[in-house]
Order: sequence, then C-alpha cells, then structure tokens
Amino acid sequence: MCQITSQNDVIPKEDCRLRYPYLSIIKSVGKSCMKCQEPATVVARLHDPFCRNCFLVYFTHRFRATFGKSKAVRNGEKVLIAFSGGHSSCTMLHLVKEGLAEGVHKKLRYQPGVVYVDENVCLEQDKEERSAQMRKIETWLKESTFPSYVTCIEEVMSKCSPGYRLISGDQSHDSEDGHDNPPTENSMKEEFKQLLENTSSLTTKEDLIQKLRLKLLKQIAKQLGYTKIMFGDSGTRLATVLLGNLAKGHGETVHQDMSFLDTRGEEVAIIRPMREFTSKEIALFSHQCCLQPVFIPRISTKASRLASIDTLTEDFVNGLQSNFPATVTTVLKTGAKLTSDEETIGKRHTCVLCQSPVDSSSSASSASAATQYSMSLRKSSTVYSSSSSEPEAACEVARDNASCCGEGDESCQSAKKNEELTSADLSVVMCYGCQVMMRDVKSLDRLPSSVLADVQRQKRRDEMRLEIEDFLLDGSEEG
Amino acid sequence: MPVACRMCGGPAVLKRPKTGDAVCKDCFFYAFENEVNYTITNGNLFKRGDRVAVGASGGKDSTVLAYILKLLNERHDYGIELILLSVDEGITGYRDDSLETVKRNQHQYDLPLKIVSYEDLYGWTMDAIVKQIGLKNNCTFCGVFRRQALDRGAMLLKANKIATGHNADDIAETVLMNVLRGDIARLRRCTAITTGAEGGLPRCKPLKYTYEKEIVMYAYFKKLDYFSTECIYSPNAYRGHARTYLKDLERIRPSSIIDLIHSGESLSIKKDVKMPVQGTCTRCGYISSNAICKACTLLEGLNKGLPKLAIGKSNKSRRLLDAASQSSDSTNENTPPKEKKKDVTF
Repeated sequence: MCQITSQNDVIPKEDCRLRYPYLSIIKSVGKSCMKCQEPATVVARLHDPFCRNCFLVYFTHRFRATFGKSKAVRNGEKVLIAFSGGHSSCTMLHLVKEGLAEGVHKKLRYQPGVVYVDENVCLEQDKEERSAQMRKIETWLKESTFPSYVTCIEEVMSKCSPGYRLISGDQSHDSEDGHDNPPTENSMKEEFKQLLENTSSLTTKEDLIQKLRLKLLKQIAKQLGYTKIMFGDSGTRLATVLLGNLAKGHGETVHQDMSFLDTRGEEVAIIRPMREFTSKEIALFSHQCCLQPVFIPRISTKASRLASIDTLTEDFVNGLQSNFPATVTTVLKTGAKLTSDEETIGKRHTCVLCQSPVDSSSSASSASAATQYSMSLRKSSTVYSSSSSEPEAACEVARDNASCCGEGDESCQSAKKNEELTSADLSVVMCYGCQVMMRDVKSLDRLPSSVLADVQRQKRRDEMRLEIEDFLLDGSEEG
Repeated sequence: MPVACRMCGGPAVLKRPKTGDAVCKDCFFYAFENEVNYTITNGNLFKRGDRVAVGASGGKDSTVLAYILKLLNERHDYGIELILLSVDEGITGYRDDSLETVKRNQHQYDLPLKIVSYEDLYGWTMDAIVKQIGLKNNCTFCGVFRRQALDRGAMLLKANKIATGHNADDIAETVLMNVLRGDIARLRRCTAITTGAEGGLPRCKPLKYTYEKEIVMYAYFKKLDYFSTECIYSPNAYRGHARTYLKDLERIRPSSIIDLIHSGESLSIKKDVKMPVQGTCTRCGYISSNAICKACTLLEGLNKGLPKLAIGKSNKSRRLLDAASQSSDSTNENTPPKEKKKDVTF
C-alpha cells in the first residue's frame, strides 16, 4: 500500500502507480475482463471479472448514473458531504471530486461542502492517537478543495445553534457564530457523557449517537445554507440498517432509512449515492485508487456478536451474503417497494428524534395494543373475578380520565409539573421504535434541549388543537 | 431471599420472557390466558356457533392451543365447537410419534379428532418425495401440501374456520424471511391475524402475540404433554438462518419479537408494485394466483419425474409443463431438465 512520506503528505494516485507498478499487471489466472478481454484484476460481483481500468470506469459510471436517474440534485444546489474517514466516505469524496473536476463532460454541477463530526466524547482515545487521526482527517478535507467544517457530536446538546470550525488552507480557524470557547464545550461534553452513561444497552447508545449525529448534521446544514446531505452508506450497510430497524420496531419508515433520497424533516434532505455498491466493491475501488481511509474506533468496534442489535445484524447479513450472494440486492429491492401509509401521514405528529410519523395503532388487533394490554396486566391482582376480564386500574386518576401517568404503584405522577417529560408523553411525541429505545434511558431529561423543546412545543400545539377542534374542517393537516 | 411476584406479592417461581417480570405460577396463568382472550376478542376471531378445526400436530403450540381454546371457550362462553385436525405427512420417526400425542390429546381434552394424510390426498409421502428431490427445497412441498390438506380436512369436517398454533416467534421469523427472499406479496399478508377469508376457509392465529418460551412455560407448569422433536429434514432449511438470528435478537432485547411483528404490521406497499391476482386452479378448483395451483404443479412434477418443476422461475415451469405434456403422449422419455444450481429464491 502507499506510504506517507511526510506527516501531512499523501502520495497522489499517479505516483502511486509508479511506485507500485505491479498493481496494474496483477493477473487473475484464467479470467479476462468482461468488457475489454484484457487480463482481469478484480472480480466485483460473482462471475464479473474486470481489469483495473474497466472496473474504475464501471464504478464511476454507476455512481454518476445514480444521480442522473433520480434527478434528486439540481444544478447549482449546495450539497453537504458527511465524511467519516472510512472506506465508503473516502471513496465517495474521491468520486465527487473527480466528477466535478474541470474538463470532465458532465451536465450536473452542484456545490459540495464537507463536514466531519468528531465523536471522541463517546470513546475517549489517548491524545497522541487522536491528534494523528485528526491530522489525517484534516488532510483529506483540505485535499478535497471544498469548503470543509469540523464539528463535535456534543454540540447537539447546545441550547442555541451548534458550533463548528472551518478548515481552510493551512490553518483552521473557529467559526464566528456558535460556541468557540473551551469552557462551554466542556459542559456540553459532560452532558453528552451523562446521557450515554444513563443508557443501559449498547443498542440504544449506538442508536442515540446515530440519531443525534443526524440531527446535528441537519442543524449545521441548515445554518450553512445546504439543502442536502450526502452520506456514504454502502449497500451492505443499508441492508443491515433495514433489518436492524425492522427488529427495533421502525417498520413504517424503514424504507426511507435506505432509499436514495430521504425527505423526512423540513428543509434538509438526505441522499445516499453509495447504496448501489456492496462493501466489497467499495473496498476494491478504494484499494485500486490507493485511497487511505482513516480508522477511528467507535463504541462497537471489536464488540462481540451479541453486544448489540446492530453488531448481530451485521454479522447475520455478512454471513448470509457469503453463502447467498443475492441477499443484499434482494433486501434493498424489497425495501424499495415499501412506502408509508399515505392516507394518514398528514394528520400525525412527527417523532422528535427521528422525524418519522408517529404510529397510530388504529387497527383492532395490533402488536402495540397487545403490548399495552400485557403491561396493564402487571398491575392487576391475581384474584380472578369471572365478571370482568379487564383489570381494574389501580389509580383513581386513571379511572376518571385517560391521563394516567403509568406508574401504577400508587405514586401518582399526574400532578407533576407540566415541564417534565414522562413516559406517557412519549407515546404522543415519539414513534414506536424510538419509544422502545427510550425504555433503556433512565432519565429522559438528559436528552438534548432541542429535543425537549420540541416535545413541549408539540404538547402546547395539541392543547391548542383541542380547544379549536370543533371549528376545524376536514382536511386540515398537522403542522 | 425469594423474589416477590410482581402482580400479587407472593413468592415468584418464574420470570416472564415477554415482560421480564418475576411472577408466581397462578399470576402467570392469569396473564397468559387473559392475553390470549384479549387477542381473540379484540381481533374478533370467532363468532358464536363457529365450527373451528384446530390444527393439531402434537407439538407444543397446538397442544397448548387446543387446551387454551377449550378452557377459554368454557370460561368466557365463546359458543364455538372445537375439533382437532391432524395432518400425516408420512415422515417416519417424526410424524408417527407426534400423532400418538394427538390421539392422547383427544382423550385428555375430550375433543373429536380427524387425521388426513398426504398418502390419501396426493399419493405421496414426504419420505418418498425427499427420496426423489433430495434434501433441499423439500420444505416447499411439505408446506404447500399441508395447506391444502388442512383446508380439505376442514371441509370434510364441515368446519367454517381453522385455528393454527402460530406464535409470535413464527410470525417474526416469517416477516424476516419474506424480506430476505423479496416476497412482497406475502410480506403484506403474513402479519394479518386472520388470513384467507376470500377463498377457502379463514384461518386465524390466536397465539399470535405469545412468545414461544411462554408457551413452553405454560405447558410445563400445567403439565401438558407434547412431542418435542424437530422435523428430521429441518436442518437444511433456509428458515434456520432467520430462526437463529431471531433467537439471538431475543437474547439482546426480548421485546424485539413483538417489535418485529409491529414493524411487519406497519409496512405498506407502493401502489405501482405488481401483485399476484387471486383466481382458481383450473385443475382442482383450489385458490391460486396462477392458472394451475402450486400443489398441482408440484404433483405434476413428482409424477412425471421432474422434481424441480415448481422450484425456481415460474416461466421455466410453464415451459417444462408444456414440454412434458407434449412428450407424455409418446413413451417415457423423461430427461430431467437442466437447472442452474440455485440455493436461494424458491
């Protein structure tokens, strides 16, 4: 592989081939490229050998064709690229840079920017390693020649807009708005750490980090005037996400988590151009172009198979894919055929964490109704009376009206102040999947203030709506 | 120090897999029975006067189902008639033992019993089928034949509903399998609690929201007897992958099973996706989405020595059928067709 001669230098692609000329003449015994019949060097999918040049052309063409087919990005649009330093991100950034280079025949010209989210607060690394990683990241950002920003995940806890740093030229200087003072950063770091510590399972930690990262990116994109964010999730990763989200209860919006264009949320949309490629193809491309991804460990790196739902699902998909090579494509195709329940979508609240519509369990027989019934049975006595099959509610408040706080052990919380978030509130402001996730978080008040503010705002809107309900005509939509 | 039961405060003897609560035996029975009753009443599964054929295989699900339906029918006065219906696939070492259990159940619960067999209905036992087609793809044959066998048996009994013992784990596995295989039509239907109401008999799943582990616990504490070996052909099934994944999911987060069912229920299909249209089979009159139903196609293949007939792409099977029907006029020239070795997508 390529070597770094000085600390901040990366050998460009052309020199790489001079240094390692064998890269272009590796032969795969007995196979010739399916396009040009030269000796093949890679086998991208089963039975598809390619020589190096044809593979690069094929890969680049697929990347651009995905944009063209979907017509999601318009000319001159500002698109923010979310860069994580991994193989997929580096490949995507490289392809974007090549595609927009001068002299390339291309109709679509958009304006990219790059952003990197520093997640050191989740898994503390030692200072030297961390600064080495940051230097490599900043090298990537500078080499891209696009406007680049670095932000930290704990900025999502900020009470006003999140802060970031602009990377330009040889030096990086802080942004003028937002926070640039270390003291405020430390308190947000502490808050974020508290939130993670209050979460009991790794699954929920990973989910929270992922959702909060997305929230942060959307806030920053909005601040900087970008209308779209580009993520580098590979097809394999998206198949894992689909199955994992099914298992977490996010069934209704699972198709948006893996579609090319994800329009949840008001102003900023998400695009995923790398969804056409499996992780194997991306790794091959990255190797052929001598790209140098930066490895940064996360909380689930080297975790055991049963550590979290995501690690288990990843293991499952990779195992199946090796025996049944059509698995990833089939799963993605199935996901692409799904949609949301269009009739009720305008009338439902939006989940404060993931911006999906909150589920309404309107059908008579449903899993959520069954779960609620099981929960309600816990609080009833075992003395079976043949007259009633419904368990008596233990609390007077619950018998009178529907606003039972759900405690059930005679510590009635209904009289608590309106500002505190109770688990009963969650069923109104969060989708089923996020509610399941929140069961692992001990105190809901540790969530970022922007999330809590959204909850309160929704509650106030509901009260407003209740007052004017009689005068609303059919067809008025939820804001 | 003994743990206190969450519901009544007495000494707890078990921990419920579904909610994680420690409960005593009686509270567990109470919760379990009431949950099934809630499912039945909320889903409007039965009407007064229904004749319900209970699919009884002798395994834990159907034993508990028969027991609990009888119990709840008496306790809550559903007003339904229950009959046990059992299918004999002809798998030695597996089915003959479980049939003994069913016969025992008949005496214990005092319910009438009918047994239908593949041999009588189709002329083939599963053992003979496996001898011909090998160890892969035989679950397809068994499943397709069993569905028809249950319907035909129920019609012979003049029943108007079928109740099967599918539990929450089964439904969650089915959702996963349908996503993995890309079967969008089944994906939409598989989470419905009552299926098949249009053509054929409606079949319902009263145990849809009960965990498999809780069914075993219930049977254990109530001392219900059942036969608990796996089908001898099951280790090679694709479903095994989904099952292992589901079992591991349950270990990480026990509510995943219900969450998966919830996800399955919330799925909607895009309007422009092509869906199969329901019609009737031209040969046997059973409901079918093609001109000839799957069971007839499979049987045709078996009888003509083309075992892979309905496995794989459907237009291939039509071609083979036409070719076979043409050549059947002449003498046996059955050359087995050349198929690509496919491990996936039936």
